[in-house]
Amino acid sequence: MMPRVASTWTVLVLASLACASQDEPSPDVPSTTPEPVVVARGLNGPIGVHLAADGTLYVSDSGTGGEDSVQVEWPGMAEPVTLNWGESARIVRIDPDGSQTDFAMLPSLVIPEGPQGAARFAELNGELYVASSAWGEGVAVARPKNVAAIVHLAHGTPAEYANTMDFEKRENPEPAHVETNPFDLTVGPDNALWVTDAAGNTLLRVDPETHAIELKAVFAMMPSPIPNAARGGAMETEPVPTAVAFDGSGTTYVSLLGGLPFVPGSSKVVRVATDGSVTDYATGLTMLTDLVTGPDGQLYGVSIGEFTDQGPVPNSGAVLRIGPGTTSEALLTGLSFPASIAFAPNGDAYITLNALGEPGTGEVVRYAGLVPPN
Amino acid sequence: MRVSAWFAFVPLIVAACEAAQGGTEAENAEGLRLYRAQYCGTCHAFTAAGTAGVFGPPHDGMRAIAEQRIRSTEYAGAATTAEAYIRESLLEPGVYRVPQYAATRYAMPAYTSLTDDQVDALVRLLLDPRPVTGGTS
Repeated sequence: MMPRVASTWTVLVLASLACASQDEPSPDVPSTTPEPVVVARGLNGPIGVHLAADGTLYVSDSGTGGEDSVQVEWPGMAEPVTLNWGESARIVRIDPDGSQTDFAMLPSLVIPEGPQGAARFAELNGELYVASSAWGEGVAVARPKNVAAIVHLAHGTPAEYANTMDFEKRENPEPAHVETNPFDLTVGPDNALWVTDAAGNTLLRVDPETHAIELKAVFAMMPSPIPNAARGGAMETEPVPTAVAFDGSGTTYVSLLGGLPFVPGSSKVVRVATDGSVTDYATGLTMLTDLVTGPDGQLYGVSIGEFTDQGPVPNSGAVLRIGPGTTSEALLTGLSFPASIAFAPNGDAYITLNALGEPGTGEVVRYAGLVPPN
Repeated sequence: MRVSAWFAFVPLIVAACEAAQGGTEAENAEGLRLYRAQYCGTCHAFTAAGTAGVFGPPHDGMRAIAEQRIRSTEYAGAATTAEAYIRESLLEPGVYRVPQYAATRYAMPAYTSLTDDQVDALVRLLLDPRPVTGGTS
């Protein structure tokens, strides 16, 4: 049946291109899609990309686990199982001349969905920080360092800046389970790191002086067409906050992936008010894994792909310009599991591809002038 | 009278044979419809349904796989037949999880919200799938 899926997808892409060619181009969007240039390859599940102020590109990957083992028992699991892990998640530096070097190594835990390692970056006061891996109370050993943590990457030596597991154990704002997966980092208008916890279903802020974690919002469960084993069979799925971004006025936006079964159109972007209340901003989206503010001040999102009732659809990832309600529009389609995007001031976009897939197949590509410059 | 009596039994014999082989075309189609509607394909690869899920074990050859699993020393459930194993996996998946998939964050839920007829349709489909003519995509 896969050829049918592939051919259907091809038709959809061709149809969308045909329609696009008949439409008047938006004044803010390039009339022709630029060709991608591969700027990094050989990555193991690239989840984050960051263009530093000095022009250096950093990429995080999930790693491939390692030689150590750990016993875990997730919610819904009949009995504990042993997983392997090790410090194989990489922070890869790509210098402006294209040279690619391992800048730092972080823990990588192998779960059946694939390895879980380093995630997103932020640059605060000229220093690089990255969100790292996940943890929960079902794990039989003490949390290793730099796991479920915000990690400071000064000169390539990882050092814990804050850990979300202690906060989750103490506060557990979304009370079903004690689990945390700090995933996205963004510097807020208050010059502090803001963090989306994709497993804790929260938005957090790290105090720049004390490194204490403060709760900014809790995201509600979302409706689901199937029961949720980890929630006692309730017909609801996890919101899974994947990224946080701020617009020019300081308004906070968070992308919600929406959990299994990842129904197309169930993902969204929400606005978070200063009192922590959450309201829908952009809806009808699919599997959003990143949300950033572009150099033009617009919000841009990454859709990692589509899971339909037939499973994952190959090459169905997209980059979107996010608008209110249902006005978001695709800038790029047909991408292979994109996870993250970073923009240069001139509008060039750097996108991680094959974030899900065989080790070594991950890439970063650059689309020159994808969005208007600063 | 004897001839007509014999013909009266034919549909019953055919129905019995179809049940043993996994049901009628209509039942098979209903099983496929349910399989899709319950998003089974998000997690499971199953050729008959045209699905390519990745989070759970594949469903091709399920009758033979089920018979193998209930004979396994690792099996912790109560089923003694392939049909009972599939039914148990749908309604009480927590009693036994396939080892390579036991640690998934997307554990198989208990489909206790389905009616008995719906569970029967899915069991029949998984035991003896027949692709629906005309494709399923």
